[in-house]
Amino acid sequence: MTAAVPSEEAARGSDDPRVAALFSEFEPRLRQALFAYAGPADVDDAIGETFAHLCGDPERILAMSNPRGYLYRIARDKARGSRRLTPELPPVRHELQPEVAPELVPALARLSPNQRTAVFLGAGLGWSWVEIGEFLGTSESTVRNHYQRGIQKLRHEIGEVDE
Amino acid sequence: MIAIEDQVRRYATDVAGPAIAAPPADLAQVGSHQSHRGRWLLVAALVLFVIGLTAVAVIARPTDESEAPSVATEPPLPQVESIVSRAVGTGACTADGSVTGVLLEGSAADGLCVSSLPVPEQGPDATRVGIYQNGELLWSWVLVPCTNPDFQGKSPFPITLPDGEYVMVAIVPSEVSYVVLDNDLNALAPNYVPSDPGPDVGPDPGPTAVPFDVDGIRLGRLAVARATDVSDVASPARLDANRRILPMRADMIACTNN
Repeated sequence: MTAAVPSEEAARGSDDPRVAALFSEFEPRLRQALFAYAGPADVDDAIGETFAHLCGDPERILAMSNPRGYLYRIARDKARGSRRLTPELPPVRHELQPEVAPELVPALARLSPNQRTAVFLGAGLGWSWVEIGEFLGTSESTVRNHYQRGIQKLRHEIGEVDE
Repeated sequence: MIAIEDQVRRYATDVAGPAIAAPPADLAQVGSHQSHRGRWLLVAALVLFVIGLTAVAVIARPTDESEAPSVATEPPLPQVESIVSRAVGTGACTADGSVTGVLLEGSAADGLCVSSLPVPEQGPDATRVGIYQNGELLWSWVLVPCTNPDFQGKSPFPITLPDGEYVMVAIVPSEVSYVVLDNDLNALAPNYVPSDPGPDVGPDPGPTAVPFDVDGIRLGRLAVARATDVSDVASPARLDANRRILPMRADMIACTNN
């Protein structure tokens, strides 16, 4: 997957080496976070639009106290158009079964976006509560609550698989 | 048994790639060559700027949302008009007409109705607010004057409508002009009395309501917001006209008791 970078504005801003360096560091994690939050369908568009936003006004955004938090919020808003729909997550590949229950995917999709993000990034990809909170724009304790509720729901729905 | 966390880990790394090391805390520094001294000066300048803004906000003490100071460090996000306000008039809350009130949601709600009855033994302004659906009382509160910042003026559960959507009913302080009821704001709304304006909620913060006055309720206004996803409804947060979260000050808040 690669991010679409749509506009001339973005192309101009991408000439700035600070922007390029920032985005090359930032983009892989943003991609994972958006995948968890809204599913894979809108990830490329949201990343492209976020990058265009950054390139449109790099000086002001880079001067912010927390540019990453700001860009996370922009990306989240871009992906929000579909957030009330159930995201279409890829099915569990045959090679991963039976250790991973196929029912995990629909159960993950039924979680609220914040719960799914906390579970997917926290349990799945090893993000810290602080990092997840930065993406969601919430506190560490709230992320922990989302995580616990999400894990409880998953456990309730699919249980655990015999190894 | 494979723990659920381990299943999630195997699946997540398969579909979203392996864990990636966190980037530097301050992305603004990536690719730049500022000195440590420069960085500290920048931080100090930002701190002074924020303190200055805080002082201005405290001195100004805005009562009108349109006068509220904004956080100037970030560009504004585009605004989207998605305000909903739900009240269609007065009528009977119960089939026998013994309780009257404000009808909400019109025909879509099949008789969602809010009643208000005085409770003189708890004070001259005390009011029992009841929520009825199809003539049945779902919940009621007694609203009394209070300076307790523990703001819980909301229905304790989303009410399911016949069309499968949900509404949350909230009693908010009279000064509040816009309310957002969105689970994303859970961290900010309950027990929430910040001293400064909070973050912008973005162009799509979820169901937003314009509170309205109800005859007989002097301690607050009614806000009703609709959502398609039950996980989206939560405690109310106060917004200004630019959809920026504002303080819900203790002196604005009434108490509710079940």
